[in-house]
Amino acid sequence: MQATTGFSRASNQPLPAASTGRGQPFASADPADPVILAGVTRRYGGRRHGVQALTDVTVSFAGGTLTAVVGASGSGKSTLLQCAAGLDAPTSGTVRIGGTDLSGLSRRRLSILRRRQVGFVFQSLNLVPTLTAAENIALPLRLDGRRVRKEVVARLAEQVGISPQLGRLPHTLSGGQQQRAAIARALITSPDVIFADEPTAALDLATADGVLRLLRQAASDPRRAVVIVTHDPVAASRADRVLVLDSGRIVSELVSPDAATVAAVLRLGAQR
Amino acid sequence: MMSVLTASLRRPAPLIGSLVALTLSALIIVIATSFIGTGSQATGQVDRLAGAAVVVTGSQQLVVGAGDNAQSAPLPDYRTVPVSLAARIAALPGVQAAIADESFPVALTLPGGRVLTGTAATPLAGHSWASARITPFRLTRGTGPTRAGQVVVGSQLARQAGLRPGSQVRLAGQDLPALRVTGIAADGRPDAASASSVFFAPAQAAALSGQAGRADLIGVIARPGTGARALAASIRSALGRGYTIAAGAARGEVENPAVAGDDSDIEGLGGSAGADIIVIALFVVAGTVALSVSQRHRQFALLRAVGATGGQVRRAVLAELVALGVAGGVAGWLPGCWLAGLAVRGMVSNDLLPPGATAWMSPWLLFTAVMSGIVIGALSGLLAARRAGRAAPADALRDASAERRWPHPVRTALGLAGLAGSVALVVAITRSGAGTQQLGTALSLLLALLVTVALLGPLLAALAELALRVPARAGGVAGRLAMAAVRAQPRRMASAFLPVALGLAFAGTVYFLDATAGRTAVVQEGQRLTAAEVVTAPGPGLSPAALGAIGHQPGVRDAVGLTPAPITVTDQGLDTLAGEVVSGGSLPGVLSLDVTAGSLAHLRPGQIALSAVEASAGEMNVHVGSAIIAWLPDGSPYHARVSAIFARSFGFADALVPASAAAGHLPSAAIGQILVQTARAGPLAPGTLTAVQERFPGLQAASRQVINAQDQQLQSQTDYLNNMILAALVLLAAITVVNTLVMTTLDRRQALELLRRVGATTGQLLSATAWQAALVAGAGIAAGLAAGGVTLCTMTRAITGTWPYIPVSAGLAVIGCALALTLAGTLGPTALLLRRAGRAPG
Repeated sequence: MQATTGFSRASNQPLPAASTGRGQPFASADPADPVILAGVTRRYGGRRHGVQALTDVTVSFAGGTLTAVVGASGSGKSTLLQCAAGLDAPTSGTVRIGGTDLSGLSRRRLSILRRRQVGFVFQSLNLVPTLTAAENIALPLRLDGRRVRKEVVARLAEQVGISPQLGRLPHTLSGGQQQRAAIARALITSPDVIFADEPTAALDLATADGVLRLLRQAASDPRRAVVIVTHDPVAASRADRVLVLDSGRIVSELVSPDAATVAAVLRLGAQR
Repeated sequence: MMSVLTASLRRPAPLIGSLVALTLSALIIVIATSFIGTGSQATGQVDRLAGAAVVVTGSQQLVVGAGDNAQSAPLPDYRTVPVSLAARIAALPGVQAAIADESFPVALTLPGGRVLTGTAATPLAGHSWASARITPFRLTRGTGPTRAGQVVVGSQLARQAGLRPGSQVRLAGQDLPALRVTGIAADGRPDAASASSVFFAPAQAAALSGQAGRADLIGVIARPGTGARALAASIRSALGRGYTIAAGAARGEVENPAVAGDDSDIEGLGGSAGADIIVIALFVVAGTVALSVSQRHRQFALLRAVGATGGQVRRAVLAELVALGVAGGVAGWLPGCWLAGLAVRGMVSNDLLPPGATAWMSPWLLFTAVMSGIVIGALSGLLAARRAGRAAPADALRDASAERRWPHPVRTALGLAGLAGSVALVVAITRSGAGTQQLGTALSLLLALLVTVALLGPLLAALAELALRVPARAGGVAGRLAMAAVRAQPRRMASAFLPVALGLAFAGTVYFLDATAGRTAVVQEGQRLTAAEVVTAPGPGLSPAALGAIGHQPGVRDAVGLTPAPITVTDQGLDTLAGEVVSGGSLPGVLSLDVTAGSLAHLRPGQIALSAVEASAGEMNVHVGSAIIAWLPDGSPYHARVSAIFARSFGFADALVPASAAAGHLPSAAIGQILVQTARAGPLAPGTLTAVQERFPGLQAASRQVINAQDQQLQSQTDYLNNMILAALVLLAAITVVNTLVMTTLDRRQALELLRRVGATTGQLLSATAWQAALVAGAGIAAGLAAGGVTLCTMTRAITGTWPYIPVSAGLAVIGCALALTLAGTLGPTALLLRRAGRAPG
């Protein structure tokens, strides 16, 4: 975890100047990057009373990296996640996943793309309550009409550590077990990117640690990007790169920071 | 997605509401189908004519006009054929015997005073002993009648009345010497024929029937080895057109022409009411399904986020509904069969069906139940499935229990269109005047109004909240909480109060329409009858001789005879009206009919009087002096000029014809009732009619208040049917209301839990729920009253020209029931939830 262009671990260093991000992504914009956002703006509501959740965000997430998106509440990090994952359409700008521009796709094609190339871990209510853990894990494959091999599911369950819980219904699993099952589900199609929305918010430290380790592991595949949205400095510190969001813009990028640095950044943002 | 579908069964709670609704609709459809089957089974039953392979009668259809303009209607009585036809048929090959049969209604009085009339569906009928072979009846005791004064009775009748050879009976209403029972005959089957047949010697039968030389039908007995169908074909080719030739099951319709043409029979009930109820069922199921889907909104959003296409989700929801439909069909089948059997038994005991009729049971009913469950489930779920498919995947990220922005433009537009349509319907009904399909028209209007209420539901919920906002503040925090919940989710409120409005409107309309009709009949009857006494006799009535006998009694100024007879006219189509045949004196002296044109003082041959409703522009469009053709019950045309138009016709008759014109064309020469006017105002002196009573056994005189026995029978028949429909509707409404409310209340489990943890006491939560229940009840009752009220007023003004008759007690009872059900459906589950939550830790 080398500090290359970024900041030392001292927390009294000033923040770097905010980049406007206009057309220039922070890191090198490699077209092979799994997820590329260019000039993405998302506005809710009309011209007069609307809310601009994202303003002109340009960023790319490279394969083999774990990126954390942090910010105060209302900063737009959930919106960024939704647009990047194709769950929501931006008001302007383009989003590319695995080289495919999402703006031209019909809803149906979008669903199919999501199913094959995007893995998602939600904050809560991750699993369909009427399906067992095994069935939930296999869900993206089932939706795609592909045959599901039991060994594949078993291997993933072993990887995430919920093998004994495969046959149980979600309401009998603990929060951590549900998150692990969700991660297994996110992995089963070998997607280009995994998005996680506050994955450790409802978990205790030990369980959170386990989940983050899994996400880290998932990011070790050079073709896959893992993006987590979090407000937890400890979770953010596990990432290769931390993007700080404020009022819908990316205001800074930290490279492999420690938890204290992230916390300081967040506090500063809250004060402003 | 099949595994997702079957997996839903693991947590069945959200599906139970839809299952209940689907079971209910399958149950009703099973009952309606069973009624249709029972009806066609009953008409297909061949009892009395079973011994005749082929039956020939005059053409039982009345056809008016020709070619494309031809209109036809079934005749209410037999079109007679000449007796000589029997000889012609007997000469054909394959015919062993051709027997002319003439039946006439009779009533017997026994020495103890007991009177036998048979049942309304199978009244007692007299025949010539020669036609006993048609059934065939065989003597089991005694001998056949050889001369006048001798009779043979059916075995069941003999058993019911305790008759045996040698017993003496008299014909009610006829001035004839007593008849002696010479024998008992049985047909070997447990059917109605042997309970309703009385056989006379041929000469007396001809005299009593009043139609010499003519027969109702010719029963053809085939030579052994001759097939019925071949025989029928050869007879048809020999006789040519103008005859009805029936073999096999078709003989059933010939056996009972009145039933075959009757509109208010059980088949019609199953068909028309059934169709309306199916539409209601669609509504109800759609409501519960929509609720069930919206409760699982987040799940569908999750599926969409994980990559399910909208089509996959839609298909899953529809597949789930189809499975629920099958389950509901199976669940509703047996209870439906049981209830249909119960209803048929009730109708038999109320004389609406012939005795021995049983509900139609068949494996087809199960098939119908399941198919209807599938169709209704899928149809009503289409919208909900579409909405599930469109669940925004982003909703999986947040607790999206907030509803979409309303007023939804399409829904509001449709609702306003529905309102416009309902208004147009009201105007059309008001302008068109009396409707013969009264209940059907009422239900259609009601449906249109309720569709409007359903579409404008959220708007109405918002209005109700606005109305209750200030009073709710008096309820403290509970009231505010309740109103806030309604403001935030008007659509959920709307789906809660719609069943209340539905149930109230339907039950209220059916009940009060009937109550109004009954009351109007009673009121008009009271105004109409000015005669001092009404003289009747059981069964067909009194012999015409009684008219003269009564007229000669001291103190009697005038005696007029009235006999009900169906008269067919051409108005909008071929319509069979309730008519009366007038014999004897001057009608205005005994009936005040509110004559608006012409005069009823003397009704001469070639004249006819019509009710104002029938003569109006929307119907026949005639006035005094117009020449029309009316058809008597046996199909004979009666060319007449309109001589009077009268207004007070409700519950009485729409057409009056003189007896001399109708003589020989009615099933019996008897007079239904004789209205007597005294010389001095006031009832007849007691004992005036004693001598007449001895001459004509069974004769009864009642003062003005007594209604004709036949009308009473008719009224109680209609009451039973209406009560049955009402009970069904009330039950349906109650179950629907409770089901929907329970679903809606349980849906608020999370909100309740949150409030409880924040510190609200059970009392506060229950009182908040009570306020919501009050709003739901209030909005539902108001909407139901509005829809039902508009329908009632429109229908009553169209049919009776009056405003609806709503006894205060009944009205309050209906509203009270709605309120009670709503409170039970909301407070009950809430209390249960709170008790369970209170026990759980945390």
